[in-house]
Amino acid sequence: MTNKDTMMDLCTRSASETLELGVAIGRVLEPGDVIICSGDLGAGKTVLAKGIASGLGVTESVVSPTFAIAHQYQGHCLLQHIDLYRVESTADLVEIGIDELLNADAVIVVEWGELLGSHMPEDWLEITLKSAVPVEAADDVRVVTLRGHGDHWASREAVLRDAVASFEGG
Amino acid sequence: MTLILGIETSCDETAAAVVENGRLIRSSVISSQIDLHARFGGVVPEVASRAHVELINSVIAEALAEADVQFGDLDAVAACQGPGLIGALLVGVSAAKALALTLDVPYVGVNHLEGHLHAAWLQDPDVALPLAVLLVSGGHTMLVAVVEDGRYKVLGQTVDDAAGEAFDKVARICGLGYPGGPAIDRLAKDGDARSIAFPRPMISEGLDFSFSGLKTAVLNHVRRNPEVDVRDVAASFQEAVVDVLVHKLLVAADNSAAATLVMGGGVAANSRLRERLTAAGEASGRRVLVPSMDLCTDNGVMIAATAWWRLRSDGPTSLAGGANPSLGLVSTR
Repeated sequence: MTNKDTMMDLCTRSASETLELGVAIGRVLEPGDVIICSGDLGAGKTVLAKGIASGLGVTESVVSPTFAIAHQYQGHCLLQHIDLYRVESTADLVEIGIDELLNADAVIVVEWGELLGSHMPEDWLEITLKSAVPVEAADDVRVVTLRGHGDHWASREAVLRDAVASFEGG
Repeated sequence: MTLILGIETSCDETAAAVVENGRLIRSSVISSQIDLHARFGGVVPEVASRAHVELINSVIAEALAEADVQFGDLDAVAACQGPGLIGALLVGVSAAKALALTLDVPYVGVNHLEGHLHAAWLQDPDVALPLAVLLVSGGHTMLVAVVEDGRYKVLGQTVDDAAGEAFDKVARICGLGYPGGPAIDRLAKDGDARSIAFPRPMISEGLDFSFSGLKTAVLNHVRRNPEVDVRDVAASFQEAVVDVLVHKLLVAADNSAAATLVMGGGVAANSRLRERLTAAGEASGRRVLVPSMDLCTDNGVMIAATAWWRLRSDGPTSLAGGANPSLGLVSTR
């Protein structure tokens, strides 16, 4: 699978740029796409998810699903926004019905998705957000890495690369 | 006399209650508050969507026993139909529908958020309306004006994180345990709330809230100042949240001509918020109503009480009605 991985290094300089990046990604997503978002607290995962929702044509306000674990929104297609922050074990994943949540006919965005373990789907787009060093001037700068896993993302690479081209480099 | 069984399974709690005439609490059973470990011998997980299935029958049986009523005495069965986690909601909704069908009584699907509003003034059902209500928990932060019975107006809500979520995440940033709310509350008592000038997000921008940026501001401060006294961080963060919540509740009360300030949701347990709200009430000549904690957090009473109003105004809910994980609170006309 590794040889099919595709990777892009991006950079955003503010929360609103992270939002714009999300919009650009959201525009090219289709039902069945699984986005696994990771990064520390405050890295901008929910901001990115807000952007993705907006790119998918969701008009209602997207809020953090940490407490509820999953929120659904209707845009051009369904968006399933999952947050595994409160999940502590594989048993918890079963408790919340993770397989059903991941198999919804929707674009799936999972925050703290690194906790999925064996529930990880075959094809997924990994988005990692990292804040820059703890220097005041760089508080809002984020290094964003996109890595497609599986055949599905190998075939979508060109479209995705095109969508996020303006955020490349940094 | 109308007896309604209310079932709440939208998130972590499995809860059931029997309420008489929408007001008199005959019983209230909340899974985390009874000794289920002894009964089941197993571990009851904290994130417990499927655990609802194992708990629901005993919780309902306990609620009936505590109220000293039989299934046959019930006039309606209600369940929370959203918002919440779909798998969790379906347990309560299915149980309520099955009971309603078997007992041949109406089924009523209740909006969780509307339930919280009703719970907020159950302790004084005769309070003069309108009310300005702050609903503040781990999952929600919203301001609602209750104009008259069953009529309300959503004035504002969070655009990102709920206040309770910010408490939990800041607690994790500070290396405190879960749940974070009580931990911050405790530490803040020994800290200096004026030591760090955290932002008061959107304080003068309408009645919506935003707490995500405040959480990040705390994170950045702690990263840059690893030697900072955690008690000062807790106190300064808490003061920022409380400033915003109290200020906006007062503005909401002004806008809706409400003489009473009401608070509900788990964050209503925060001692500094209670203290500041009480002071704000006194200073502005308004009454402050904060329900007991059992009614602030998720419970079956609020579902049964709301169902009584819904049944009178809209009649029963169709048994074909399902659960809606994204159900919102929409202003009534």
